[in-house]
Amino acid sequence: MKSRALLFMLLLSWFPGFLFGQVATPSIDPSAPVWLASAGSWRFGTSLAVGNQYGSQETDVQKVAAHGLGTAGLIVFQPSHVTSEIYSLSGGQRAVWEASSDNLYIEKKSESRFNLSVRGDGRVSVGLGGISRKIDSQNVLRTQKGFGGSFGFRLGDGFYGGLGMDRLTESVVGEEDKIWSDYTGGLSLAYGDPDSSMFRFEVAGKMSPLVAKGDTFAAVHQKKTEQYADLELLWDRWFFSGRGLQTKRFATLSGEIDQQDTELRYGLGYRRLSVSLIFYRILVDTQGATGWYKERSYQATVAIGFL
Amino acid sequence: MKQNWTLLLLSIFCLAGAGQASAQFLVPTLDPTVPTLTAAATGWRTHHVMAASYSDRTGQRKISGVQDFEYAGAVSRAVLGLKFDTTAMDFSGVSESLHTVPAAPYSQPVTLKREVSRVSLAMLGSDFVSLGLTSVAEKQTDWASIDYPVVSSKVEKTGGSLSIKMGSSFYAGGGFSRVKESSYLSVDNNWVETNFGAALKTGTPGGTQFHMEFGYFGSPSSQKEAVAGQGAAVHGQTAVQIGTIELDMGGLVFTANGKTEVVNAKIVDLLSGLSADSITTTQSSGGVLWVPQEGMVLGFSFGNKMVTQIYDDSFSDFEVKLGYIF
Repeated sequence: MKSRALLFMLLLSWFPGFLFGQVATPSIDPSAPVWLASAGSWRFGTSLAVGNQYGSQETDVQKVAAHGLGTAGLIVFQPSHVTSEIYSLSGGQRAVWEASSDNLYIEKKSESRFNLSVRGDGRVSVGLGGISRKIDSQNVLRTQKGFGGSFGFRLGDGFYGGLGMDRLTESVVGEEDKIWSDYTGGLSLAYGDPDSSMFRFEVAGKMSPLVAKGDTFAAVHQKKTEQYADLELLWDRWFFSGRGLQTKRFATLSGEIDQQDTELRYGLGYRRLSVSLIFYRILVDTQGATGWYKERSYQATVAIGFL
Repeated sequence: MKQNWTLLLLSIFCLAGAGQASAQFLVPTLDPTVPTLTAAATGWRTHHVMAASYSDRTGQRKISGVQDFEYAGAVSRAVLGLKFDTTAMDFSGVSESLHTVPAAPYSQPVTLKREVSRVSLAMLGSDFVSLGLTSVAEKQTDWASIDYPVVSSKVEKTGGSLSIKMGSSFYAGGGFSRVKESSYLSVDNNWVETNFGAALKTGTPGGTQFHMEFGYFGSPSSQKEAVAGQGAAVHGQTAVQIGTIELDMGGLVFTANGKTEVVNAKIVDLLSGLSADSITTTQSSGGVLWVPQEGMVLGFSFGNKMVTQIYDDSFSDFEVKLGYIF
C-alpha cells in the first residue's frame, strides 16, 4: 500500500511545475504557514516563528539592487485537537515583471491569515480560514478579503490529502467589486519524528479564475494556476529541502501574453521541537517572448516550539 | 402597478419560505449548526448546542435568457439549542442581505433583505413522542419599482408539531401552522399551513450514524379583497418538498439537502408582456463538518438556489460553520 502511494506521488511529481506547499500537511519548517486551514491539524504543537527574505531582481534591460522582500510572522496555538494559526506578511516591496511589456513594476503587498482547524480521531481534519490582503501595483490598490473551508484526511501511517476553497472579494476604488473562488488541493507523504528524523513530500495545485468587470488593469482579476512539489528531509535534526513552484498567469487584456514563472527553493538548517533555524536559497527564472526575468534571494526563518 | 404589487406579494412569500434546504421536520440534522424547522424535531436534541454560520452569496437575474444584473450578498445564521430532561428549546435567527440595488427604471421585484427569528419549545414523552410549539417571525424588504424602492412586509407563523418514534430508528409525524402576512401595500392575509414527513435515523453518536428525512408542507391559496388605500392580498397555493441525507462517520459528517417549492399563481407583467403560471424554487446544498459528541463543531457547505418565474434568479452560496456542543 505504501509503495503504491509512493509511486502515485512520484508520477504526480513528473508533471511540470508543482508549487510551494502546505496544503495537505504542514512543512517540517514550523515557520511556514499552511495554505489550507485543515493542514494545520497535523502540526507538531504550539510555536512562534519569524522569517525574512532579501534579494535582487534583474531583467534583460533593468536591474534592482538587493533589498528586503518581506518579513513574515507566525503564531500557532495547538493545545489539543484544535489548532489556531495567525500569519502576517508585511514590509514587502518587490518588482514584478510583466512579460508582455518587458517592464518591472513596483508592487507592495501585505497579507494576514487566520486559520482554525479541528482534528478528528487522528484521521480527518476540518478547517476554516480568513484572509486579508492588500496589493499596491501600477497605481491600483487592491484590497482582498475572504474566507475559506477545507477538509483533510490521513490514510495509513503517512499518506495525507487536502482539499479546500477560498471565497475572495476584491475592492478597488472606483471599480465594481470582484468575487471569485480559489480552489486548492494536494497530496502528501509524511513519516517520522519531527524531533529527530522525518521525511515529507507534497504535491499540490491551486486555481484562481478570471474575473473581468471591464477591460482595464484595475477591473480584472487575472486567471492564475500554481503547481508545486515540495521535498523535505530531517536527518538527525538537520533539515534539507527542495521545492519547485510553477505559476502561470493567463493573458486577459489586449496585448498581453501568457506568462509562466518557475521558482526553485533549496533549504538547509537545524530543527528540533524547541527551536529551529533554517536558511533558504530562492531562484526565480522566467523566459518571455522578447526578454527574461531573474530573481536571486535568500530567506532565513527562526522558530520556537512549546510542545 | 397593481399587477406588480401582486407579483411582488407572491414573490415575497415564495422567497420567505426558501431559506433553509435541510429537512428537520421530525429529528434534528446531524449538522447542529442548522436550526430545526419544527418544534417536534427540537425535542429529540441530545445536547446543548450553540452555533453560527456565515455564507457568501452571489447570483444573477436573467429575463428571457438575458442577464439583468448580478447579486452579491451574505447570509448569517445563529442557533442556540437547549436540552433538559424532557424539555428542549431552540432559538435561532437568520439574516439575509443583498447589496444589489436595481437601476432606477427597473420594474421587477427584488428582495433586498430578509430576517427570520424562530423560537421552539418541545416536550419529550418516554423517548416515544415529541410534541412542540414554534413561533416564527419573518421580516422582508423588497425593491418593487422606482416608485416603491423599499417595501416592507412581515410573515408571522405559529404552529404545533408532533414527532413519533417507531421502533429504534423510524420517525413519522406532522403539524400545522397559522400564518399571517402583512404589508403596507396590501391588506392582511392569513392561511393555514400543514406539514408531515418521515425520517430514518440509525446508529449511535460517536460511531456511525445515518439520517434520511423527507418532508412536505403546503398551504391552500388565499386572497383578500382590496380596501380603500390598500391593495388586494394574494397567496398562491404552495407545495414544498424537502429532503436530507446525512452520514456521520465517527464525527465526520457529510450532508446533502434538497428542496423544491412550487407556488401556483398566474403572473403577468403588463409592462413586458411576460407571464408565468407558477413560481418554482429549487435548492440544493452539501457540506462536510467535524461534529464531536462534545466540543467544537467546524465545517463548511456549498449551496445553489434557482427561482423560476417570469425571470430566473440563480444563487450560489459558500457557507462556513462554527459551533460548540456542551
